[in-house]
Amino acid sequence: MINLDNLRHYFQLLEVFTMREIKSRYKASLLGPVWIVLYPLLSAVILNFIFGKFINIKTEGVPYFIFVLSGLVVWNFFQQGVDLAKNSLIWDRELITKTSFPTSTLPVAFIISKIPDFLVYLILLLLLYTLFSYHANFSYVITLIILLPLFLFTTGIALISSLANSVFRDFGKIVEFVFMILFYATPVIYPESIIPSQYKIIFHLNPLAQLITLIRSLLFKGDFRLDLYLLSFPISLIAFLLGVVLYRKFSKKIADLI
Amino acid sequence: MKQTVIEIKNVTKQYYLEKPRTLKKWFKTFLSPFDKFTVLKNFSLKIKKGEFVLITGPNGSGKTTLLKLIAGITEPDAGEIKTIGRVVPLIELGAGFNFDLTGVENILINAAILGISKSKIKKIMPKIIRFSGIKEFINIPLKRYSTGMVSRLAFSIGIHSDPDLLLIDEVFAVGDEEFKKKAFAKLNELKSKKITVIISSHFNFDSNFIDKKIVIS
Repeated sequence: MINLDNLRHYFQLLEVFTMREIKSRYKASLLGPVWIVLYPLLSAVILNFIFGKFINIKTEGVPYFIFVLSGLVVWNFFQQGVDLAKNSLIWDRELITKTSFPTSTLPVAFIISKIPDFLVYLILLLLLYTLFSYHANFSYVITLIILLPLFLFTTGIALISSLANSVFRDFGKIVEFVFMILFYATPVIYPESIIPSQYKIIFHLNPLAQLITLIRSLLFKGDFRLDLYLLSFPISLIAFLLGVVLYRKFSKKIADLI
Repeated sequence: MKQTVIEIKNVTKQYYLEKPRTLKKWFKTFLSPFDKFTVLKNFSLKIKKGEFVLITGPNGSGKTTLLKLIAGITEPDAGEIKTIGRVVPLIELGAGFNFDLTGVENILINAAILGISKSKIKKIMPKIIRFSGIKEFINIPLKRYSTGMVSRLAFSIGIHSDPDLLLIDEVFAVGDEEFKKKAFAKLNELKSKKITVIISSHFNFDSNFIDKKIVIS
């Protein structure tokens, strides 16, 4: 039964847990929120050297640095979000075993806490691309809409991972390994066009791949691929609903098993 | 006739002695299931509105488990539990505090967990700070607090959260004499407000303070 008071409580918890995470994330660090900007820039610099300069992946005229950054905007939100969320229940086990509240707010708040980072990445990408291409285009702001399927997909995976990891610690290790495979299976460091046709199924099943390709074709080719946007929804929704259903089913057992 | 606010019917609760923490262990459970430890068996209890209930019993007898079941933190394996009103558990003081954040920030989080609305939190914030007696430390991180200060803050949030049912687990072991006096005065005030309180403790309380005593063995 959904009641308004419970819903208010749920959103209030999401808010305080998100603020708690954002506040404590940079409390003990020297550079503080500057890390939000430094992290994607440094990873793009490293990837630029390896895959842009040494391996020389062709990106159709776009500087590799900007090309890879456009992939990282999507990938980092997903990877960092799930990585934090998968441990969220374990970190707050005291809270779960000693107080009564909707525990799914913990992993979800971690995903929400990564939204400011996502926006900073996106602005950074748009700024750098505008500098490179010499023309500003406000239609780029439409890239914001990818946040919806991306959030659904990430949250679904995060709910499942946090649940599984709280019962079986192996799962955290498995997730790390799967992520390594997924990073290479997703066109972050290479363009979607070089995926051999017999492996295209990977692209169709992977919302991350579709959303990265959507950003790239909009920025670099001025082509808004609504088809990719719509294509990203079925899998994202399935992941999200599966996460919600599994979480609801097992959430009452967490306090005993964690 | 007073309203029954807690009704526990034939509740049984078992815990795994060893948790199947890894997949390897989990697969083994198919061959030889882990031993389960029965904490409560066929336990029934009715508590009426405004009653002060003391639960005593040796370590491991299920006092905390009973409170956790009432609070809905964990679910019974068999039987039924019904509660009416807002349940506020004080199972362990300071559980869920973030030690990098300040006292005020932690009040906001903890009160939200207890289900208090934002506007209400704003209203009770000064009362919580005054009662806890740590006014001068309220804007510094909790890691600089003493254990007693942390417990006082947590207890203060719990009793100001406007509970219908307050569950207190062994929390009088902490805090100095002065704070204990203050806490008891507050409990007396709750009693006059007809708030139901369940205390689990080894200590024996004043018998005219307690309406009902339950011994678990």
